[in-house]
Amino acid sequence: MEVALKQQKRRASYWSAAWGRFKKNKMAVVGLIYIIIIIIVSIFTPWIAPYPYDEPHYAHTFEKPSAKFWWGTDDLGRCMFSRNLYAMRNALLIGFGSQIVVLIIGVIIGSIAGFRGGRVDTILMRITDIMYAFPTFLFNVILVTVMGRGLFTILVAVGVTGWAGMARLVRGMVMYLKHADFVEAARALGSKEGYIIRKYILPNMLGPIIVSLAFGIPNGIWIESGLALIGMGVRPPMPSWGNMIGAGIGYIMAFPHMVIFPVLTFALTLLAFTYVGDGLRDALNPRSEV
Amino acid sequence: MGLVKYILRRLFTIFVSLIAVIIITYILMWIAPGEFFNIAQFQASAGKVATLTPEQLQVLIKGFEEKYGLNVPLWKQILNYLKDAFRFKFGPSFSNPNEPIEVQIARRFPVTLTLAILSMTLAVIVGIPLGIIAALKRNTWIDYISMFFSMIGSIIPAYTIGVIMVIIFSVYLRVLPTSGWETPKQMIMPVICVALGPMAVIARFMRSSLLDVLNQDYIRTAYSKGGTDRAVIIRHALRNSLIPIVTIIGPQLAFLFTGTVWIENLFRVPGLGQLFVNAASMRDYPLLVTSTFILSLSVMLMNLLVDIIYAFLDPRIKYE
Amino acid sequence: MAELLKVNNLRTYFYRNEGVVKAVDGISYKLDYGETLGIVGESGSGKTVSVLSLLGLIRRNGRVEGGEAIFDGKDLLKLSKEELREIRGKDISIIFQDPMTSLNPIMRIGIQIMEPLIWHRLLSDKDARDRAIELLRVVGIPEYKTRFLDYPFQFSGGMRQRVMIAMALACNPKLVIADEPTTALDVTIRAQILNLMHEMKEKLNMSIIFITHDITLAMNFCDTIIVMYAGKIVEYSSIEKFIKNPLHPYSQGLLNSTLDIEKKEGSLRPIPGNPPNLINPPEGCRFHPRCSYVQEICKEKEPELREIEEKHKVACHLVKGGNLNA
Ligand SMILES: Nc1ncnc2c1ncn2[C@@H]1O[C@H](COP(=O)(O)OP(=O)(O)O)[C@@H](O)[C@H]1O
Ligand SMILES: [Mg+2]
Repeated sequence: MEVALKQQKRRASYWSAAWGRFKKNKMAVVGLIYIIIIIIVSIFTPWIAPYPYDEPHYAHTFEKPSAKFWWGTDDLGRCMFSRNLYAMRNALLIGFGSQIVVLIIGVIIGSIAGFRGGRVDTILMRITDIMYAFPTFLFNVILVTVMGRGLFTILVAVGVTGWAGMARLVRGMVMYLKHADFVEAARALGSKEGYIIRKYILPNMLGPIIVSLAFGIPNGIWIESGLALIGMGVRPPMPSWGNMIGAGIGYIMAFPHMVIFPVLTFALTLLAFTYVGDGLRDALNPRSEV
Repeated sequence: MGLVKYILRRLFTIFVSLIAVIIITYILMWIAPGEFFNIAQFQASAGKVATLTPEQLQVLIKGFEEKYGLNVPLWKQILNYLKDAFRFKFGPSFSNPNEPIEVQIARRFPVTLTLAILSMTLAVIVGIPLGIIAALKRNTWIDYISMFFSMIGSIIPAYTIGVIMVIIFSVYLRVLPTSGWETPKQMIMPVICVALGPMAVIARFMRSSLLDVLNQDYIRTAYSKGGTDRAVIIRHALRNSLIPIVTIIGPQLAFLFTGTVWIENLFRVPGLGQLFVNAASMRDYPLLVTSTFILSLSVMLMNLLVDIIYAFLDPRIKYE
Repeated sequence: MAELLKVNNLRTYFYRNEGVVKAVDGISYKLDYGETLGIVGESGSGKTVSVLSLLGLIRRNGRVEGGEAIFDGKDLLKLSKEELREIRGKDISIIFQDPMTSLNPIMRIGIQIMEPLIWHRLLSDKDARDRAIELLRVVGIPEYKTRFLDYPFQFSGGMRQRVMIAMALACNPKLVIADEPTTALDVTIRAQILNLMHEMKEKLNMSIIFITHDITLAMNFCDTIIVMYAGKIVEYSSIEKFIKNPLHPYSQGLLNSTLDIEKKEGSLRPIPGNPPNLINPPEGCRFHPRCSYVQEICKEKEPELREIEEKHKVACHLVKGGNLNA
């Protein structure tokens, strides 16, 4: 009991110390604020967007930014600003959603390999190694070809090919924690294996897993727009950054605003996530402070 | 000696992985909704190639059914394909039945290989010096600027940088063409775009690797023997810090080939990446499996090459 | 005897986020030609830093704050980078503590031995090669002719330390600094390396600074001994005087804590407590929190290093008239 309390206290101070370290990193804080804003905007997109994403204005095609259309219009006269908001919403859905898939697969495979060890471990890690050095984007394309081009299928496709790093991470930590002092102590006190996993092992793995997810989200966004760029993203007229960029590039000579806005918001979002990831890594992993 | 045995073992692993890739791809295509062999689709694309009478069309379809064993169980189809694959005789594709797949591949493979090799070379010869300079000038503005740019380069995908470059160099400056792959001028942007990501990653990794090595005891030993900065850095620090770099070039290769898929489509470069994407969008399954197969094989073989180089750099490596 | 090195009030500090680490805080000593000086103290007392400071080899976050180090008539601390480089490896060389990490893992050891000879333009490539092979023979590497081309990982720890010694001797330096040359080695190997060092000392007639945390080892090996604690010298004595009459409570503590085979087992008594934090060292005598004779004055006033008798200095308030009056 006392051990458990101590452990809990230690954990609480760990998180508050981590938050203190995170706050010191200005770029990470700016990134976090940006991300919170775009998440809120994405939740309320249908109310915020001035026009529906698929509403054409044939009298206003290829218009430059104006008071009516803040970021101009595209080849069908659709409002670029509204389309960008929807693209952002889709990107976030896929970014976060794909990481949930990654988390589920990675944790299951990683913990089985870590706990079982032996042959199971060898085989699982071999597969992971191959996945790691394999151009998984090819499988993304094939999966989307096979399963269709919906938001959900893309999200699953990104997750299904992206779990190798997570599995490695979880396996490493399980191997380490299995024999860590405080776990041994709990075991000696007669705790059940399942209880140990829930109470001790999972909480201690949380930090590194969060960091890995934080870097995984922009990666998911990245792959989605890569898919969209080659015509494998969400089905039009639903916008995504990739298909907006892909469509805009055809008119790039005459109407560069059609790509500039999606490219900039896209790049900014990726940057924000990466800065937050960096901040989290430094905050949750004090070793890297040196 | 061990090297030959090591290479043979690695080749065996590659062989097994490729079989796995083919089987998985095949199964995925098989469970896909809709018919494996889509006659309407085929007719549409066949019409593009040649005008055929209904009889000729029937003959062609028959040919496909026999060639790919469309009426036999899946495992037999896969076995059939594997036999073909390892002899590099693939047969016709749905979308272009008059030209065997191996001919299409042969035409496009050199393009992608050139793009990949040029990009990797550029990434290495720029990324490594950049990382070295950043490490040696650490915590100066040179360091900050180069690390800021390599951060941008490693997180903004190749195609986005491609778009930005097109805006700058084609739209505003009008110095580079937006597409094609015949003249060196057309190659500049695709190569740079594919190279930027790996270059940025290499530069960042090189910097931290060199900083790490400079803190090692043997560097202090070298200084204590009376080495100049130049001698110590070149003779002792650089070679040691290059060794871990080789280990990230492997994963970067996968990354690089993904980049070529995008960039070939963005800049209309007639390479394997474009072929792969065409195959996927037309559901041309034989072509899709084969281009996946060839792309995977290329990545794996280049990975093997990298590992052999690694062994030459580090005398401690024994091919256990 | 003529004086080779004279260090005066050397201070070296490290700058860390938590504060300034006063690793070496005002030490003075001298060293004659052919003399062997031992520097003894627990780990973290500033032994390594005190010698690395002389050659400008401390890490970037550290700085020599003051003092002088006259070597052969020149103040090492005031030399330009290039002048100092010309001394390193040629006039003063170092044998480091850990032979596992102190050799470049991917360079043939023969080449590593040749480097100082070539860098100082003492020999041509070919002569340097012959000299390196000869050195390997001298330090007792079997099959030295073929091992010349081997890599460090092909050697055992003891053999690597022999290579380090060969490297340090390459240019016939006037001063060799041996920083705990046996600490990282297996107990069985230690004696062999010490024998080798003894042999070299006899043969080559150079000055040696021998750093160790093993006080009995220093007493066997050296002519003069310095006992360091928390960045300061607490006792500085010729070896004869020290053996007869070790005065500082810390020196006595070190002696008591080493296992003396002749005595019974029970006599092993480590000094209680830990070395102090060098960012905020204790007021007064830095050793007072661990000293069993501590008195009021020790907590308030820092003791000076005073000459008690000829060639014997101690920094302790309680030493009076050649005795520890506790
Ligand atoms: N690079 C450094 N940064 C901060 N402190 C250092 C550094 N190097 C040494 N120190 C500190 O200086 C003190 C003396 O170290 P050192 O000379 O290595 O001790 P010794 O050799 O006696 O074991 C130690 O407290 C150590 O923590
Ligand atoms: Mg030391």
